[in-house]
Order: sequence, then C-alpha cells, then structure tokens
Amino acid sequence: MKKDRLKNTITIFLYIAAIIVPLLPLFSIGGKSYALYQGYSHVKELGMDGVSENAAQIWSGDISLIKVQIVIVLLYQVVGICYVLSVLLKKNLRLNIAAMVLALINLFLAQDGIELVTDNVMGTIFPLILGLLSVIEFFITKMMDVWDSAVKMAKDSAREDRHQKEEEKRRLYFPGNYTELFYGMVWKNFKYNWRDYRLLLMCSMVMSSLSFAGLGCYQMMAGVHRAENFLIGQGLGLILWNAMIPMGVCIVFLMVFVLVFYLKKWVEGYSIFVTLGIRKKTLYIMMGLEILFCFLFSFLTGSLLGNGILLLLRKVIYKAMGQGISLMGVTAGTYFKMLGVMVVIYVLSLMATRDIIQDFNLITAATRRIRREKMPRKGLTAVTAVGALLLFGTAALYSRLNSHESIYLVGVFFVGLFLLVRYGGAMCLRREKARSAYFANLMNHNQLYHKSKTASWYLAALSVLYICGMFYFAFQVVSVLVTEEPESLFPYDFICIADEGDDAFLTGLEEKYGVKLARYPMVRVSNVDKTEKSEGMQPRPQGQQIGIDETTFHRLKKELDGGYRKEALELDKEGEKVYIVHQQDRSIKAQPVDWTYNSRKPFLHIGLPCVYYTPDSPSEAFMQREIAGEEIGSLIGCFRQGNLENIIVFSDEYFKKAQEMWRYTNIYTGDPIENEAERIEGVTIHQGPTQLVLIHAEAEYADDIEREMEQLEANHTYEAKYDAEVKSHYSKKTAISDMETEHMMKLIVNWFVMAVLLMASMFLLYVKTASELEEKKRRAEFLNCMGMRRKERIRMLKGELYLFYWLPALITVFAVFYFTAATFRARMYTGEVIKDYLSHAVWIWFGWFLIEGVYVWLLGLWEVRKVEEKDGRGVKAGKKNR
Amino acid sequence: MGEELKREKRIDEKKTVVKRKTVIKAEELYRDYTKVSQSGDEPENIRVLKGLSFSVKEQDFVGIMGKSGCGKTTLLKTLGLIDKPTKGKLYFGGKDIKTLWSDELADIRRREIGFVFQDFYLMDSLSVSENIMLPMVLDKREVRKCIEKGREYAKLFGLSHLMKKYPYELSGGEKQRVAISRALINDPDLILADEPTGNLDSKSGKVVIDALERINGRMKKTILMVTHDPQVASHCKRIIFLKDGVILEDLRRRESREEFYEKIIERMKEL
Repeated sequence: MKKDRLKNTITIFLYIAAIIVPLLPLFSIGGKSYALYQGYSHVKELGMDGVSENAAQIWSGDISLIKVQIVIVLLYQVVGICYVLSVLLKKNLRLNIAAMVLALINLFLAQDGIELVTDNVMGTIFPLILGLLSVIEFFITKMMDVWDSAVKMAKDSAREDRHQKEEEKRRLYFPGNYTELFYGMVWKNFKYNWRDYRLLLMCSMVMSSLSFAGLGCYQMMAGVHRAENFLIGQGLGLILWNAMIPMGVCIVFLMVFVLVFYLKKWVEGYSIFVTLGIRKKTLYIMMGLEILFCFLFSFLTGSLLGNGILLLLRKVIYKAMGQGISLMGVTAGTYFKMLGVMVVIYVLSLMATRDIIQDFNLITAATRRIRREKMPRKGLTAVTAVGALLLFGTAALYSRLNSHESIYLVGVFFVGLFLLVRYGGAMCLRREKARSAYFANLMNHNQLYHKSKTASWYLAALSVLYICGMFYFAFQVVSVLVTEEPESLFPYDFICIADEGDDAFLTGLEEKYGVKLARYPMVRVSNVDKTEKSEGMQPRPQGQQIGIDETTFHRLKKELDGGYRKEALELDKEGEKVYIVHQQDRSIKAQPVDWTYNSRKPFLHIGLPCVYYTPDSPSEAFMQREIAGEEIGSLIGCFRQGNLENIIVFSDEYFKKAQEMWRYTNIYTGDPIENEAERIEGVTIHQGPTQLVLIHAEAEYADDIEREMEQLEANHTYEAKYDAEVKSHYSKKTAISDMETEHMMKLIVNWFVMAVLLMASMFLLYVKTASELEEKKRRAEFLNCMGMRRKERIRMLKGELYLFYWLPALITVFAVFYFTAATFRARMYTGEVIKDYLSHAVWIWFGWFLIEGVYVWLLGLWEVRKVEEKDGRGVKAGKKNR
Repeated sequence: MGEELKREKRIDEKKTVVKRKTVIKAEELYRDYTKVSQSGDEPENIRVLKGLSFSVKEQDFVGIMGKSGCGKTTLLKTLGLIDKPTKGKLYFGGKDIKTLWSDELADIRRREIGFVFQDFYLMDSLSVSENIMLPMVLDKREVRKCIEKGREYAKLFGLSHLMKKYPYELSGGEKQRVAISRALINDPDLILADEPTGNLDSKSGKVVIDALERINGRMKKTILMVTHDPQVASHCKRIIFLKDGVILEDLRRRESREEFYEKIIERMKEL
C-alpha cells in the first residue's frame, strides 16, 4: 500500500513536471521569451521576421515540421493529463507507454522543429526533458513493481549459494594434513621417475639457455648496428626474428613432446592414486610443483648457461670483428624477456598437453600404451601422387627468384613429405604384405605395421628437423661464409641521390675535401610493394629504386671492371622491358624488386611513391614491366641489401622520356595531369632526385664529410617523409659496419638454430626409444620364449632404431640436394661460388650425420642393454630396470 | 536329516537376506564407449552395458561371468565408481552416485571400496609395506596406525617377511596378496576383484581365492569378483552371467560347491 502510494506520487510529480515544461516561458525566440505554444504562434504570425538573425540562417521558413512537433507535444500533454487522472482514480490504463512513445517521437523530430527558431538551448533540450521524464517514470514504476520479487530472488540465490557452499564444505570435509609417510612415498616415486624428469629439466634448460643467449645476443649487438627497423624488413631484429620463430616452434614442439611423454608416464604412475581415491586437487598440486620447480630451475640454469654462451660469443665476435666495436651488456630487461619467452612456451606446451593433464582415467592411462594404429587403406596412390606433386612442385618453385625462398614453400614441401611417408609408406607395406617377402620381414617391419601412424610421424618429424638443419639453416650459415668481402660491395665512399639544387653543396665538398665526384643522370623509380608481408587490399609500403639508362649502366660496369665488355641489354623504347641489378650480397635470400602478388613482372612507376595509390585501383601509374635480364651483386653499393635502392636500367630513349615525366605526373596518384594549369610544382608535381653522385673521398675526411651530408638530408625532407629508410646519401663506412654485424648475428643465430634442431632430433629419438622400452622388454621376453636367438633379437632392435636414422637421412640427402640446387639458381651463384659453398657445407653435412649417427649407435647400445640381459633372456615384465 | 538341515539353513539365509543392507544397486544401467578411429573415420559409439538392473547386499560374494568382451570389466569399473554410467541409476550405500561430486566419489573409493586387479596394479617405486599402507596414507591417517594396520594385514596374508621388498621382487601370488592387503587396509564395505587369479598359477590362485572367501566369511565383507574360471566362481554365493551387455542369468548358490560348479559349467555352455 505504502509502495503504491509512493509510486503514484512519483508518477504524478514527474508527469506534472513534464506537462508544465512546455507551458513555461523558457523558449527564447527573436530576443523574447515564450512558452512553447506562444512561440509557435509568434513564428507562425511573423515568419522569418519573428526570429533572430542566427535562427534565420538555419531556418528555411517552413513551419510545417514545427507544427507537427507542436501537435505531438499537445498530444503528449493530453495523454499525460489522462495518465495522471487514471493514476489518481487508481485505474491501470498504461497510458504512460503511449506518452513515452509520443515523447520519443518528439525527440526524433526535435532537430527540424522548434529548435531551429529558438536562440537558447531550450528548443534542443525540452524534447530530451520530456523523453527522460517519461522513461524515468516508466522504469521507476516498473522497478518498484518487481522490486520485492527481485530482492527475494537475490536473497534466495544468495541463500542457495551459501547452502551449496556449506553442503560442499560438509560433504567434502577432509581435515588434516598428509603425513610424512605420504610425502615420503611421493618423493620415492619422484626419485623413481627421475630419469624422465631429468629429461624434462634438460629440455627446459636448453630452451631457457638458448632463449637467453638469443635475446642477450640481440641486445649485445643492437648498439653496433645503424638502425633497428625490422618491422619493414631491416636490421638485426629481423635476423633474430627469422631465426627465433623456427627455433621457438622447434622448442615448443620439443617441450610439448617431452611434456607429453613425461605427463603420460606421470599419469600412468599416479593413476593408482586416483583409483585408490586421492583428491584431484592434491594430484594437480603435486604435478604443478614438479612443473614449477622445472620452470624455476631452468630459469636459473638458463640464465647462468646463457650468460656463459654470451661470454663465449662476445669473445668470438671481438675476435672476428676486432676490439674496436663496443658490445652492449645484458640488462635486467633480458631476464624479463627470457621469463616472458619461457612463460609463453610453457603455457603453449601445457595447453597442448591439457587433455593428458585432465585425464587421469585409469582405463585411458592403461590402454594408451596398447593402442593399435591402422594403416591408411583408401586412396593410397592418389594421396601419394599428391604428396610427390607437392614435393617436386615446391622445390621447382623455390628455384624462382620471385618465390623469395619462401618458408611457406618449404612448409608445403614438408606436407608433401608427410603424405609420401604416410601414404607412400603404407602402399609399400601393403605391397610387401601381399608378397612372400612379408614373412621374411615379419618381425623387422612389425613396428611399421603395428604403429604405422607413430612411425610415420617420427619419420616425417625427423626428416623435417634434418632438412631444416642441413638445408634451410645451414644455407644461412654457409652463405655468410661464402659471401663477398663487405669492402668489395661498396666501390664508392659515399653515394648521393641528389638534384640540381645540390650542385653548390657538392661543389663545396669537392673544394673543401678534394673528393672525386662522378655524376650520372637518374630518376626515382617506385614499386608497389616493398615488403614480403601480404597486405591484402590495404595501401602497401612502396619501395624506391634507382632508375638509370643503359649507357650509364655500362659506364658503371666499366668503372667496376676495366675488362668489362659491353653487351646490349635488349631494352625497348617504351620502357616495357627493364634490366635489374639486385644490389645485395650472397648471404641475402633471393628476392624480387617488387613483391606485388609475387608476380614475375614488377609494377614500377617513374617518380616518387604515390601515397594514394592502391594495387586494386584502376590507375595505371605503376606499369607492369618485363624483366629483360637481371643480376645479383653490387653496382654502386648494397646499401639496402636488395630491399631498396636496386638499379633499374631503362633504354636510353625511354630514360629521356622518363626524365620529363615528373612535369605532368600527379605526385599523389601517379596519374598524368591533363590540365596544364593544374601542374603546380611542389603541390601536384615534384621532380625528385635527378642525379646519382658517386664519391671517392680520403679516409681521413670520412667523418667530416658524413657530418656535412646532414645538410643534404635536410634539403631532401620531402623524399624522407615517405620512407625513413630511403636516404639522400649513403656512406660506405656505416654500411660495412652494419653488414659485418648482420653477418655475425646471422652466423650466431643460425648456428644456434642448427644446434637446437640437432638436439631436437636427438631428444625425439630418445623419447621414442624410452617410451617403447617396456613394450620391447615384453616382446623380448616373448621372443625369447619363442626361441629367437639373442643375436637376432638385438639385430632386430637395432634395425628398428636405425631405420629412424637412415631413412630420414636418405630423404634429407635428396631434399637437401634438390633445395640447395634450387637456391643456387635463385641466388644466381656462379660455379666458383657453388664450389666454395659445397666445400664449406660438406663439413656441416658430414658433422651432422656423424653426430647423429654416433648418437643413434649409442642409443642402440643403451636400448639393447635395457631390453636384453647379459644372459640373453628378456627382462621380466615389470621388473625394475632403472 | 540332511534335507531338514538344509531347509533350516535356507530359512536362516532368507532371514539374513531380509536384514542385510544393499551395498550397490543398479537400475537400468547403461555404459557406452566412444571408439575413436585411427583411420580418421567418424567416432563410433559402442554400448557395452545395456540396461543392467540388480543389487548386491552386504556380505554377498558375487561372481560376474561371461565371454570376453561382454562387459564384465566395464561393469566392475562402473560399480567401482571409476567410470560413470552413461544412463540409468547407480546407488552406492543408498546414495545416487549422479548426485555426488567427483571428490566424493574419490572419498568413497578410498574408504569404502577395495580394489584387486588381475595385473596387481602395485607401484614399483614403493615397497610392499608402502603399497599396503597407501590407501590409509592417502586418507591422511596417523603414521603409527598406518604401520600397525599394514603389519597386521601383512601378517594375516603371510607377507611379514616381504615388507621391505619391492613388487618386482615378488612372485605373482605374493603380489596379489599384497594387493588384497591393500584393498582391505581401510576396512572397506566392498571389495571389487577383477580376475584376481587370472595371472596366477593354480596354487597361487587357490591361496588368493581362499583369502577372498575368508574375507567374505570371517570379515563379513561384500565381494564382487569378475572371473572366467568356473572353479574360482564356484566359491561365490551368487553368479551374474553377462552376455552382450545384458544379464543372462542371476544364479544363486543353494547347494554344495561341487554341485554349484557343475551348474556354472552348464550355464557357461549357453554363453
């Protein structure tokens, strides 16, 4: 009752307020205050003359919409009065809904209504006031209606929650602490499984050490390097990033593998605890503690070992690059970054092994070991053919320069490899089964039949690791070893990309420092996409290259090599054909000048980059040109390692035309401006650099000239605005220092990755052997009973293990041969360079196979020792073997 | 005279049956498994138990028999609260297990059920005494009591001299006696045995089955035992025959062990 009275009072108060508002003289029109209806009459009577100057500017004089608003407000007031009366008479007519709808319509019309003619804000806010009052009234009354039940529900829910918690507490009451006996047993079991835990510790420690060393190395060398702009494809960051990603993948893969192996064993070991009724929380805590300890231990040992590795690297770098360079030290940031990397890897690994952690089911744990794997039966030939197609197709594509040695192609190759191993292998085994040879190899090939899936995965994974190690990363290492001396790649001390405005500056240099200048005509050439990343339809960061004519090209070649013989480049007058010099050293991967759609024909524009151009626009500013010929090497200097400032050679005739193109080319769109009046220098057109200045200077003035060059940069801010990596001058000294640092970094990180891959392959084999040990012991016992000789059993055991060495090795030999040849072709290595490459690479290949071979041999001995006893009998199932 | 005695005995048994509490009761019990294909085919749903209804009273000694793959072990694991039923109701000590939380099920397994497995399921990392004490230790019981009880059961089953040995140093029969001691140490109401003599020679098997009979007779424990062996099964008071996941017959022993054995052999022919 009291609540109803309060509700009615609120309703009446709010609605009376809403009804009164339009009747108050609050609306200022033409300098006077009016009530709403008065104001309307005033405007209706006087029209434009009745409103202020400001209002007259926005009001058209049309009164019809104001009229509609007035009618709506009137209706609102009538309905509001009726509603107030109905409330007073205690009739529930729901008129507040109708009033609210009218208020909202009024709000909707407000912009074109009385607001147009009022001088104060009242015209704007009064519909809002009506709307708000109606809405507030509606919700307050509704809330008051449901308030009691809502409060009751909330109380009930809270009571239920409390009750449930109490119930839970009562039913799950398990007081007290575990006794020392329990901890003793857990400790004993932990010690019993120490070998498996040690493996996990070792893997984690390797991961943390390498992460620390990698990050520390980056930090150490960052100070030596000119710029860090790896997001657009430059610098040490990119080198580290390129190596860290596969290394990270490899480590995650390894961690997941070892964790899965460890947790499988753990769950098997502790599933009896579950059967006997241990609380799961206790088990999780036990497992969590083991993992946490492993994490902390690896963090500490990783920091120590990582520091050791860095110390060693520091010495190596000083030895290789001289004491002149200053290497940065490791900071707290490195430790934090390492912690971050470790957390990410642990989280990823634990997520991958989540199902196993959650699954303490006795049956699953028991049957996990004896799961039989079916060999694929359907579509063997077709899938094998697809696999072979992928293998050969990707390797063929890889040899093309515009495939830019894509890691994705290598990825597709691995997919093909897996299909070939899994399905091709199944096809061979099925064929073997159909022949009498099957019985001769019954035991030797048993694991391939019985565990075909696992065997395929292991074979494919090992092959992938071998191929990555011996081709992909070995190539990075060897290509640095066979690359040109940095000094030979920079024939000039300074390069200036200048225009006529710089003549005075250049002459000044000549006079002041006695430098020798060689000036050649050039045009700026832009390409649509300078990054490997696919941007979709987004505007892409455009690249900038140096365009010269054929005559200049020959002259520059002659400058480099006195014995150079001029040969026509077969270029055309229309500029459709170009000759490209990719200015990069041998350690840099083959890459196109323009990355658009990975096309073999680059999209090139004469002039500076066009900000508003996108590849999907109909504009023809960027003409697709045919490559008449190309070479990889240095013509004026590898200052941007093939990513920018490559040389684009046009025919002399076209070059002349190109020099004049800036006069009518829109600098934003790249399209020609037809109307001459619209060609305004500095606004719609801009000339850009016109001369390529090559400078020889005395070494003693190098630093002074470098300082002077700052002025040149200041004169060319327009060009620098688009891309900070493109400069007006480049210096040999800085470039050589950067190049040496990059080479060193490349060597270090790729050696790291190779070491990680080698270890990963060893871990993989160890885990495989260790996880199958029990099964093999039982089999040995069985075969012993069946009368199989010890020698034969050992031969079989070793044969099974060695298969996982020689088959991936064989696959690797073919793959490495194929891919290495493809890369030689893509990078245009000469016969001499290839010979040099092979003379280095052969030691890596040999070393890898030797280490792996010795390891497999030792692993074989260990396996035999575990499975077979000295007297030749198999060990009894379940007998302690540790 | 003999007939008279037998009749009196039956009446006594009936009276006892009326008084005895129900330990386990299954109503329309179903249990499915999802078989995940390795060849990438759709996962297959396999119904192992198909609507079983029965109850087991206190001090019963129930054997479960049937061909391989008929669902014996699945039934035992479901009754042992290791697996949850897919459908139907299962009551343990009058409690519907669907209403229990997983930790409550763990508590029941720890305190009210003892498990004996065909492959013993002992922890190689722990000694015989530790294996026996394990359920008490998991129940946070006092160390002194654990040791006392462990010794008591070891003595009872002739294992006192083996207390410091490890499972891999024992014979099959010894291992199984350790497992039985472990199953009994928390004084559970129910013992679940999955082919306890399956891995043993006849002599060791005899020792184990005698022990179980003693546990049922003297210690008044309820036993549910899966077995293939009619000789072993003849020690039970009741046999549930399973065929393709359904109860074929619920046979009760009302005669001598030899006659019961003959009856079991007869029934086995029908399986």
